Amino acid sequence: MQEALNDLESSEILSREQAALLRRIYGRELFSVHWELRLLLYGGILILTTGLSLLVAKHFATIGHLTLLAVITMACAACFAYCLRHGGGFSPDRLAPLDAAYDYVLLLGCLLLGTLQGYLELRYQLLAQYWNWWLLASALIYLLCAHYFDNRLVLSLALSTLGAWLGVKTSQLGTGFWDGALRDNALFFGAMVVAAGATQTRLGWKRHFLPVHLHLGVNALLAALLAGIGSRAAGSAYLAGLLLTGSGSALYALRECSFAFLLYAVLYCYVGITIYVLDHGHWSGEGIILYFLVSAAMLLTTLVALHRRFRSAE
Amino acid sequence: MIALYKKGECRVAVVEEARRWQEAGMITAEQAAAVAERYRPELARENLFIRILLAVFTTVGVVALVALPAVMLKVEETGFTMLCLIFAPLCARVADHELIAVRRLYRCGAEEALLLLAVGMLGLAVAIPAHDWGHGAERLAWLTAHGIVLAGAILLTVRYGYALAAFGAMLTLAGIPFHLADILHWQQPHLPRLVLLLLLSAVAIWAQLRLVGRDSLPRGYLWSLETVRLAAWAGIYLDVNLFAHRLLWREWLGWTPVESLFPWSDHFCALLTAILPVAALAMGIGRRDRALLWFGVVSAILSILTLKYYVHLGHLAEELTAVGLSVAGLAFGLLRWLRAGSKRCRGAFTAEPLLEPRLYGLDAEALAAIQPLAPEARVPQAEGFHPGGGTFGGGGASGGY
Repeated sequence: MQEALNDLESSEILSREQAALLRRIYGRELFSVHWELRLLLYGGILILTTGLSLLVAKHFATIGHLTLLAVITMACAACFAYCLRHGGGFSPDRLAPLDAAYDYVLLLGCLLLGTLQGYLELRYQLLAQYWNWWLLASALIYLLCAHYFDNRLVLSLALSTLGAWLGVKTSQLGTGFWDGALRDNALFFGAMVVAAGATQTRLGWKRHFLPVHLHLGVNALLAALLAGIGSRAAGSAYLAGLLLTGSGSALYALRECSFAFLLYAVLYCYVGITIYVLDHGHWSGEGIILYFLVSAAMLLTTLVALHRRFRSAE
Repeated sequence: MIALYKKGECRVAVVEEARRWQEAGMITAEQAAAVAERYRPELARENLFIRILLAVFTTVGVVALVALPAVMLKVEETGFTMLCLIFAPLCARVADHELIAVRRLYRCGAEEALLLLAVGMLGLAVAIPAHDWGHGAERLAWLTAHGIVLAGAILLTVRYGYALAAFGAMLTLAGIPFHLADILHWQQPHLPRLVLLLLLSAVAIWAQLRLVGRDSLPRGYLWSLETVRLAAWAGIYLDVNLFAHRLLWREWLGWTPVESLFPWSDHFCALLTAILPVAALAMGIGRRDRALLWFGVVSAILSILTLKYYVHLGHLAEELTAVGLSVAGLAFGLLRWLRAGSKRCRGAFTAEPLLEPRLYGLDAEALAAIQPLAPEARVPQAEGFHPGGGTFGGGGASGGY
């Protein structure tokens, strides 16, 4: 790399200062531990919240409910106060990140809020059999925090909590309805997450949140549609939905050169088509192998064509 | 390494690094384009996700291609061996000649899958027919197949610099003591683990010594050696830490573990579980070695979480809370301390994000899936990054920096 830097400097592609800085980085005279410290902070906060949850479960009878409640509430409030004091306030655009600690203090505040809600429910059973509404409340508060403090980490926490609420709510329906309802809820959740991301982008509001929405939403949609293909009654409808969603995902991937969505589309659709085709026909051993051979050859041909197109674009 | 890759990798590395400089705001898009033009690689590369798809469907296609004559001709063990012996060199030839030499593919998924399949088929060609030769011969044949896979993975690493093949070689190597124990009927149940520990330690030392001259190594070799070293460290760590499973199983399943090889084994493993992360962190900081730092941080967190199975203080909730507070406090304190230093540096260390992490070809899009580490896009700075100079507006920097 040092030779390349010399060459780029002598050919005046890089300025002297740029080349000097890069030489220091590649020579390890300047060494960033930013990502390592972020990882350490993340690990520390996860361990801390796990410990606190266990502490609450273990000691809530001996320490005194009000003491525990006060400690968790104060810690949670301190985290949010820190973020409010140091944050830049709400903006529909991306805010320049302050520092790694700020992100994780917000995450800690959100996780402590979850612990507080769990404690309140465990101790006072405020919502009793409707306890899953706490999850919805958490998800909404996290969403608010993610947008106000401009934090993608908390956004992914909010969307996962929302998904968990739908899942828990469905699981309480009973065994007879569980499968279909869970699938429908996953479809609804995926569509809602994608639609929310698209709407925000169209409105010019937190455009940089779109990838988080799309990665989660597209996966939820495709997985739910794939899970429905095995059903006798509506297998064809689910397959049609899967192909339609997969096509949308692939088109988005090609338009934005964001090939993770192409990977999702191809893998989910291939598995879906394979399940449908093998399920709805009487195949001999040779036939099944021939199917895999022909389908793999077709996909490889298509991918090679894509490779050529995007290599020329590069 | 083949000359095509050795020569072409330098250009690929410069172009890829220029993208990182641009993402970090150190150079402008025009400068990155100029670098890409000057160092235009002769090798054909592929996006990571299309590479995965090409690898998956090449594997599906080749397996179907081998299975089709096997099913149509109703071949049995010997026939299957013949098929493997026909297709293995064919796959290697197509990958090496048609895809790499002629089409100049460089880590595009298809050629990697073909080469790995060739090695796998050679191993199967030896192991499968041994089914009818009796118990002893079958075991010996599977051991030979194990050796062939190990040799093949090493060959792929040496010839093409594939880090994935290096990882496969390490996995295969780690399996050898257990395979030998099965064949040679080692009476001591923990002896394979001891052999594994010694084997991995030797490999880790060898890789560390080779990495001393890292600046002169081709990128493929560098990544392979780092993979080997990290796999060896991780293997040693798992070997000693998974010893806790004896205690875990005893607690969960009421299972009585086999006696240790030595009376001090438990204490030795507990000690190594604590020492390894500290040693990795110390070496990582001393040598400014990012791979070791990451290993140190991750293994330290794992050690804290699994400490319960070694040290029975009986206060898990309090221990975790205290440790969580300490770890988060330490990270927070280090961030502040580094930022308070002259030009926001302490010695060579800074907490500012200079370049986004490069995880062996994973791009920023792939990293976005790892939310805690999701990189923030930064505004390119035409004049570059000047530590402490006040012109850096990148992610993580305050306005006054």
